[in-house]
This record gives sequence, structure tokens and C-alpha cells, in this order.
Amino acid sequence: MIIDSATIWEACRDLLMGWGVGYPVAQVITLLLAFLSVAVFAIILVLALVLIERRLIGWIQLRPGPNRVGGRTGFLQTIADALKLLYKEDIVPLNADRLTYFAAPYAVFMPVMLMLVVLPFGAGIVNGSYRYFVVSDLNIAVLFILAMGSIELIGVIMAGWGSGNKYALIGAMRAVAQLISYEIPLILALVSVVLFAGSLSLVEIVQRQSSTWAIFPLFPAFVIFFITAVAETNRCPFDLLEAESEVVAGFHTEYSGMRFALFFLAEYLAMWVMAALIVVFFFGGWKGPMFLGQSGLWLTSFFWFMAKSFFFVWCFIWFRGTFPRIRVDQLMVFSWKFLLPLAIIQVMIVGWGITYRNPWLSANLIPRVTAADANTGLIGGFEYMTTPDALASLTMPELVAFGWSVLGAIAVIVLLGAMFYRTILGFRPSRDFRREIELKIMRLEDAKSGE
Amino acid sequence: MSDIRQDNPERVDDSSQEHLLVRFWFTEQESAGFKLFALFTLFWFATAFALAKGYGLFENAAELTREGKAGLIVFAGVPMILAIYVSLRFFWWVSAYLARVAGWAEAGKKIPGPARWFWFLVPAIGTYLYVDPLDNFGRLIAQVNLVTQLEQFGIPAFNPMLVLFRLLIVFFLVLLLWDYIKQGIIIAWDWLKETWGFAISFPQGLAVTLQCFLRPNVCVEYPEYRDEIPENFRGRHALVADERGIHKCIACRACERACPDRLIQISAVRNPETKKNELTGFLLDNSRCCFCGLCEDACPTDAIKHTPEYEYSCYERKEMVLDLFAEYIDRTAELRAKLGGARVS
Repeated sequence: MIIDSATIWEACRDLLMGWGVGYPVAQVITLLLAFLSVAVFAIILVLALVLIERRLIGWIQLRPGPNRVGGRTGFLQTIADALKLLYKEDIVPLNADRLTYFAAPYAVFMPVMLMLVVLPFGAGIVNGSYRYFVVSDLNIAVLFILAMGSIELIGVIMAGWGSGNKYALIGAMRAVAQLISYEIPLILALVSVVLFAGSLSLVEIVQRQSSTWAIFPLFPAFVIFFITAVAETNRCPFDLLEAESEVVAGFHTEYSGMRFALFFLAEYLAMWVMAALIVVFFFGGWKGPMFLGQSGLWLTSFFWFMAKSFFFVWCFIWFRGTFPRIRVDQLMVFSWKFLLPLAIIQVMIVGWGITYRNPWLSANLIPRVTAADANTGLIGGFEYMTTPDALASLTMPELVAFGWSVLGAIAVIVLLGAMFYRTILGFRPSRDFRREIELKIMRLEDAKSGE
Repeated sequence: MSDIRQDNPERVDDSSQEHLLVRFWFTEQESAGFKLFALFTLFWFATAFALAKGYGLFENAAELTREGKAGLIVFAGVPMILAIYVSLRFFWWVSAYLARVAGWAEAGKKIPGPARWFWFLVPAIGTYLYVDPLDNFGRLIAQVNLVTQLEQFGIPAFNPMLVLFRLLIVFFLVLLLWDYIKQGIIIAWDWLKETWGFAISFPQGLAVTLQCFLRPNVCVEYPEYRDEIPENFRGRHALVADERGIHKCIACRACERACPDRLIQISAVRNPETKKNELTGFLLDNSRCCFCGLCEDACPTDAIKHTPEYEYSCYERKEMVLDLFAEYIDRTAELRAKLGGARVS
């Protein structure tokens, strides 16, 4: 399946070296090019995202949103905002811890930027060989992303401490408590993905989803990852650390001007990165719908990656427009008493599926067990098989286990189908609320006649 | 709190299920009989099990004579029955507690146990166990051999008698514990309904916002577009002029008195000829007005009126003090001049 794990930047470096440039110079030039392209992409993306969020929230609230700067679409609004922030005075509180105060925005912003390093944007055939559009195809990319997500925390607590402001400190403490609580279900959801794909590299995780997107076998993990992604990016309904009514603006209360803009940039970039990670882990990354087949064109892969990630950005915005902010205790209870057990059950299910060589729970990657291997207890190797082939190679208990997994899948589909029916087809607010009102009136009349 | 309880004698403060706990620990467990019973059960069970194991009775039960089997049943069965009784007493208490927690049972109401006829099953089952016509105990112990079978062939052999025996056990257990199972199902169903209602509210909310998202927006973009304001809108005040451009105010100061914010100031002079008050000034502090419309209601001649005018922002606070009389004079000057210089006051 995996033809060649070379990235486009390695090809670029090879090209430079072909022109007679030395290895270190070529390496530095390509890395600079890669970083610049990613940075420019990130800035443009954030400028677009802020406007998109404001417009979409406006539409959800039945209003047009920003529509004055740059014509009716308001596409210059964020540029105007950024210019305004650039000209703002940079205020430093008197009792601020100056070093941490100045370093915090960068400590928040840089990890988010670094996450872009391992994010595969697409793949295509360049000069006859298959190349991935990723700055670096780390083989521990999942670990790297989790580490970067945790480092962001330090920046947040630095901002809260350095500001010398009680609201900032409370906001930062809330942020840390929340992010630590939600990181555990997030990691466990990723563990099931990693078990499914058999790799920590994002490129390989995407390639393993050629036959089926991971959302289908790992739906609960997707739900957990989505919710924790919303919490990790501190967005509604988990935006307790920025609750205006409680802590003024959370950890960035005291920041103004360009430093505030950096926090803003990090927040929105993290939102898109999380959406992109959802796409990579559960929706086949840059791959289009399966029935269209594979295409070697890098533009189609970009298109699908962007389309899918922006769909999830839209989902984040939709969530923000729908749900009110939850309470602190509800936040913790939801993470520790609902998401964590669910995540553990999901990991157990995937582990069970892999033990019984379930093709659907192991990305059709079937361990080859020969008679000799059975004696030594070792696995002879892995083999990609289509589902019928894999089923034909299973033993009786493994087939029984597969049957149980099919029954479970049917149960989940029936449950979700019922929910979908109840929600989309069976629920009409006007009618349902009217019935409630009528019932209330009937009860009142009963009470009257009872007297 | 005490007053409320006196008002409702049926209502018992049962938020902490303390009385139940107290009854269990001090009336049932503390009773000498129960203690003795539990100790005896434990002691007998341990002794019986150890002796049976020591004599190899479990391994060789299939080869025992019928009398030997009966002895085994009595020897092992008595402590089993005692253990079942003790655990049943425990479950009896637990089920009542659970039912109280779920708010299912009334306070002080006894949870119904099995019907009386049910206890006639005990000698019937006892006879069956004694005769053991299907050699169930032998087959139960033969299960030990199935482990070897599993190790050798990977798949346990299907043993219909064993399945029957297990089904029998399950059947009797269900019969025995039916009331508790029923209560458990009811509690579980309530919990499921509540949880389902909670879970369904998320997609319902999302559906509502999605509908709003797809609907065209309802904004009237103000400076460019304006809504039609109805005539009875309570905006800026004005003195009403009739068709000749004459105001109707008789300077009775009813509006001044009616105003809850005391923001109207009327000045008037008495005309010695007609002996009537004639208006000379009408000041109104719009910045403090709550637009309640009481001045309109109080006016006997309908001389003051709220207009649909709503744009009265200004740069200084003192500009909010409206001189309604001057405004009226400006407004009607042209009309009055045309009609031949009608007097205004």
C-alpha cells in the first residue's frame, strides 16, 4: 500500500543537491521554505477563520455578521482588526512578572505552529514518484502532537501568573485543570486509533484508512476525540477559562495589542489544527470518498483535506452557536465519569478485535499465524487482506468474535438511527413545544375544575 | 422545615436513608439470632467444603452411590441454603433501599416479597435434588473433564444436559428473585429514559441552530433600511396641533402630576379676559423618561402625545431636555401664518 514515504521537501532537497548545492545548505534552504510556506498558510488561514467564524455565528443567530469593511462580504474585517491591534499601545501591568509576561504569548503560539510540522496536507505523484505534502513525516507524530498540546498549557499558566491579575490566574488555573482532565480521554481515543492503524505516523495512519475510514469502526473514539478537541481548543461549551461573567477574559485579560493578537492567532490556529487532526485520524486525511478511487493528483488531495477540515471547523462553530457554557463541576464530571470510561471501553473493544484478528478493527491488517508461529507464540508478520479473504482465514472462535462485533455494530447503528430519526425527522420544535403548552393548560384546567 | 412537616403529615424527611440503615444494622444484624445464623453458616460452609475437598468428594462424586450423593447434598446443601437465605435477606434490604432511592416505593411501604405458594416449591425442588433423576450433580462435576476437552480441542463440546441444568438454575433464580429483578428493571428503565432525554437534547439543539443557520437573516440594516414604526409607538413627545395649528393644552398640569419620573415642567399665565390658563412653556427631560405613556393617559384634552420618532441621540446631556412648546411653534408656524395668524396663547 505505502509506495514511498518521501516528503515533497525531501524531493526539493534532492533537487537542490542535484544542482550541486551541499547537503547542509540544501537542508537549511528546504526547511526554511517549508517553514515559511506553513507560516504564511497559518496566518492567512487564521485571518480567514476569524471572519468565517463571525459570519457563521451571525447566520446561526439570524443576523448577517460583519459586512461593512471590504464590501458586503466583509472580507477585509480581520485585516482591519489586525491593523488596529498593531497600532494599539502595548500595556504592561505594574506588578507583572515581566519575563513570563512577555514570553507567554510565544509559548502559547509556537507549539500550535509546531503541530503543523507533522500534519500531512496531501499527497501526489511528483516527477513520477509518490510524495507527501508534510514538512516532516515523524514516526512518532502522534506523541509529538500530544506533547505540543501539553506544552501549550505552560504558556497559558505563564500568562496567568505573569499578568499579576487574579482573574488571569483563576482563568489559567481553570484552563490547566480542564486541559489536563480532557487530555486523558483524548489520548485514550488516539490509542484506539493507533491500535487500529498500527502506527504513530500521521502519514501511515492516513494510508491505513484506504479501505475504510476509521470513523466507521471507531465511532465512539471519534465522538470522544471531537468533544475533547472542542475542550482542548477552549471553545464553547468548554470556554470556562474565558467566561466573561466570571473571569474577565481568562488568562489574556491583561494582554493588549500584538501580544493579545498572538493568543488570538494561536486559538484559531489550534481550532483548525484540531479539525485537521480529526480528519487525519478518522476521515482518511487527504483521501476522497472511497467510491471515487485514488487519484495521484496533489490538488485533489489538497481539496479533500481542506474541505473535510473546514467542515469540522464549521462543526466547531455550530457547537459554539448552539450550546451554553457548562459549569465547572459538570465539566470535570463529564470528563472523568463519562468520557474516560467510554474511552477505556473503546480501547478494550479495539484490543479485543485485534486479538481475534477482526479485519474491521485492525484496518484489514491481519497477522499471519502459521503452524510454526503458533508453536513459538510469535506473529509471522502482517498482511493486508480484503474482508472476505480475512474472514476466510479466521478460525472458529475468531469468526464467533467477528459475529459479536457485527452484532454490536448493528446495535450502535440502530441506536444512532433512532436518535437521528427522533432528531431530524421526528422532532419539530413548534409542534413539540405546542404540545407541552397544551398539556400545561390542560393541567391548569384540571386544577381549576378540581377546586 | 418543621412547620412544613406539620402541614404535611404524610411527608417524611427521608433524604438520608438513615432510618433504613438503622433498621438493618440494629434490628436485623444486631439480633442474636441473625448473628448466630451468619456465624453458623460461615463455619459450617468452611468445614463442609474443607472436609469434602479433603476426602476427594468433588472429584469422585459421579461414582458415589445414591445414598452417598444424598449425604453430599445434605452436607453441602444445608450451608448453601443458609447462605442463600442470608444473601436474600441482604438483597431484600438492598432492593428496598434502591427503590427508595429511585423514589419508586412510598415511605414506610413494605416491598412485596414472593407469594406464599412460592415456598411450596422448596420441598419440591428438594425432592428433585434428592432423587436426582437426570444425574445433574454428576454432570456438574463432569464439567471438570470439559476443561481438559477445551485444552485439547480448543472448542468446548456442546453438552445439552449441562445447558439444561444451567437453564434450570437460571429459571429458579429468576423465580426466586423476580420481585427484585422487576424493581431493578423499573429503576434501569427510569435511568435510561432520563439519560436518553439528556443525550437527545444535544442533537435537538443542534437541529434548531441548523434550521436558523439555513434561514435568511431577519436583520434590518439600520442606517440604510428602516422598519415601519406603528403610530402608537411611544417615542419622543410632541404637543398635538389641530387642523388650524392650535395646540389643545389647557395647562392643567395633570401630566406633570401623573409623571412617575417628575420630568415635565409646565409654565402658564392666567388670561384675565377669559380667566383661563394659557401655555407659555413645556419642558420635558427626555433623558430620564421611561416612556410609560402616563402623561398621554392623564391628559384630559389629548394635548400631549408620543410620536413614532425614535432618533434622539445628541452630543450633550442638556440637549435631551426638550422644549416641546418651542418645537410646536416651529412646527405649526407656517400653517398658522397661512390661516391668518391664529394665536397660540
